[in-house]
Amino acid sequence: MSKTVFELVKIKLTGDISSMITFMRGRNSKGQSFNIGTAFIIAIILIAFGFMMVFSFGLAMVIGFQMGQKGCEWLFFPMAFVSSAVFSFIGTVFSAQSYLYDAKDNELLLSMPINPSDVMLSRMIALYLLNFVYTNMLFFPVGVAHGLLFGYSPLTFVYFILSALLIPMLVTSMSSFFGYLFGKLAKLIPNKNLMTVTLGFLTIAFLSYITLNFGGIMETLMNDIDKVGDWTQHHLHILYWYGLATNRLCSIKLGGLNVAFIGIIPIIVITAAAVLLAALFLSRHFTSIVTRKTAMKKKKYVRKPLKRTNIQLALIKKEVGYFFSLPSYVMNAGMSTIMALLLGVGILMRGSVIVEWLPRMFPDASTNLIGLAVGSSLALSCTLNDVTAPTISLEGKTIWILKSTPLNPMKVFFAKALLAPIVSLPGVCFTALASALTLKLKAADIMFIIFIPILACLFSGFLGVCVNLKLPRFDWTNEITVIKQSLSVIFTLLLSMFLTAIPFTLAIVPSAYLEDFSSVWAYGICIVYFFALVLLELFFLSTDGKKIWEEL
Amino acid sequence: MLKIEHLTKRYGDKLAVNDLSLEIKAGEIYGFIGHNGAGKTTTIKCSCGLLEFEEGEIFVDGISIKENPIECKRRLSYLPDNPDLYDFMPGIKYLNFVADIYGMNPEERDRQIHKLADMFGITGDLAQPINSYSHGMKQKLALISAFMHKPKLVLLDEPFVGLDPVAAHRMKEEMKEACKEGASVFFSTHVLEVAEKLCDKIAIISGGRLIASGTTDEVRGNVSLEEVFLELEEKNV
Repeated sequence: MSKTVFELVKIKLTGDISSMITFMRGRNSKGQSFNIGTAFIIAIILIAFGFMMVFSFGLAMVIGFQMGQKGCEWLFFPMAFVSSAVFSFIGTVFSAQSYLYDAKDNELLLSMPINPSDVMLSRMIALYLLNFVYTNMLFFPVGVAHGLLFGYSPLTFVYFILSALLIPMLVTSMSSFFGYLFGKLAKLIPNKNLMTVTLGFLTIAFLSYITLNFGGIMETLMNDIDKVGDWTQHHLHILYWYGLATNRLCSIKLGGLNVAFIGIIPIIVITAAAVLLAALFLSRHFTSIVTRKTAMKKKKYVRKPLKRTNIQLALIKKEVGYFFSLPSYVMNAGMSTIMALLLGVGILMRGSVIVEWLPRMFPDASTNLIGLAVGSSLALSCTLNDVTAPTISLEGKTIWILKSTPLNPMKVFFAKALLAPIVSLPGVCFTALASALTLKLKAADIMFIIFIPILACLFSGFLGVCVNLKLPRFDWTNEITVIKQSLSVIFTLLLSMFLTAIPFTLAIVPSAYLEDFSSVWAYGICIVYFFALVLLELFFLSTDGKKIWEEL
Repeated sequence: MLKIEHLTKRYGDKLAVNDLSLEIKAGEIYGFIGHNGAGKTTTIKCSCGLLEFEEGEIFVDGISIKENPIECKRRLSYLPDNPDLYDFMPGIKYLNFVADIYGMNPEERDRQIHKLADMFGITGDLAQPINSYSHGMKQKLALISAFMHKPKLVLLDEPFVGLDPVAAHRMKEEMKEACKEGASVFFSTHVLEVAEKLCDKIAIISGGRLIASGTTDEVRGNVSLEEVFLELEEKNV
């Protein structure tokens, strides 16, 4: 590896890590960063990694044990190989394009006396390291489980290490190609944003399906693990050979010699070929890929009478327009709408079960718990909507427009906060309608189901604006850093969920266990609580918030 | 139209503008020149209410920017040196958005937007999203948004950067036109020839202090503005 490639990788990694830490660490409106933020970030990262690794380990132990029982322990590593590769591919595929082809410094580097293939190689190495982390979050604990279940021979151990290095290589070459194809496809499709959002939501839908049906999938897998092994042996020969090579108990005799160990060679050859092909092909076309310009068809301007809109509405339209122009923003904040819609679908399909189940669970409940349960679930799903938490930061270098024009800051805050109910409203309305149709609710319950999530949305919307005023970041180069990684978003999400859970706990517990606790009381507690919070937020915005805005 | 009295602005320990006083009367084109980091942008940003300042006072049309910033902003328009606009909006939507903020009536906004867009030659591009615009086109769009609501005071930071010669010429004509109608234009520039030919008055700033001001003829005397500027800078250093 040339010195240039090494330097480029170093610059990329240090830049990415410091940017992530700086953004998550957060700064207040006066630009001071928080020391507590670093410990917080490390704790979150460790918890996430730890959880994933413990989960993988537990799963591997259960499946591995079953494999041992049914005599197909050779299937252990092939299954781990495929699962880790798929997990890593899903985790990094959307980063591939930004890592390789959309990096801001590509054009600058290409103008320097650096070989384009060196730039490409450095990008692929950075992507490889990202894949390595993703792969081994799953593959490493699985390897440990294998040792505990079946024991290790020196060769198995070497092959385990080799696999841990090979899987990210294979995934890197695949996602590099995917990034290239995605770019090509985007050229042909007029609405690139729509394509990105559709692909993103399809991925989320796939992952949600797996998560929701995890129990069933596992049960089928455990029962039919021998059939899976049988099928793999007859259809996926390369994985079968790989399984034989990596399992110390397997042997294939050839002239008295155990030749099972050579079964790993096809995997090595395939990975090497994929990497070589990707490196050669993409290096060759790197300059043309990164400098390509999508030929946009010029939209003809037709002069039409211009309509006047009041300032508040104009600001809201601007916020909505910005939201829908960024696929990453839509995918991040749109989750709440999807959760609410799923709740609605669940009620439509299984509403009768809820109607029967709740009174049996809480026989002492004097009031109808259904309205409270649906309303609180819907309100909690609305708090997953962190759409307003990055909205001040997203003004970025355009903040001069709002600040130099005759605008009352409260109008700006309102427009930003209202984005939360606007985004969540379709899901809320659908679920409220589904509940009214299937759960045989009274008018008061329906009102509660509609009103309380909207109030919760308003609360979380204003909370996002308040927090972001306290923790703004304007030094971003890509919106995704403030949408996904800023302290403002993480803090708003956690605080919003916590504060939303309080009134429902206060209302649901007495409703379920006290005989003379009427639903009016329960609904009243929630409504008064959220009203009070919104009023507090408005007070903050009209006093400190205005001052902070002027200082930004 | 713009009165700056003893303006002092600090960034931490650094004194960016030091006891600066200026007055720009209605109908004047006032040029503001100085080296990089002299305090031009800070002065302009304080004048439009974008930056708070520690000492001094600024009045726009007799109204204090500290006391009543919104009323002041109704009377002025500001353009930064590198105007970032809402890239996701088509040009016409951005102009309509600005018109909404200033409460322009539909007929007036229609007339002004198309007059200025025709003048800068970007009418055909108004349906395009701003992210497809070149730097010069963005500058033209921002200039249209600054002039279309007929402000009494126009504050421009390096307005000629990125403009082609034709657009720069038209821009000067628009500045003169606005001043004929009673507005004032206060702009910073590094192009001394433009300042010399276009401005009624000129102020030179160095190290945050005003080192010369007056009518263009008073400031340059018998020599060129470039010579005066270099001489004053040398003395100040």
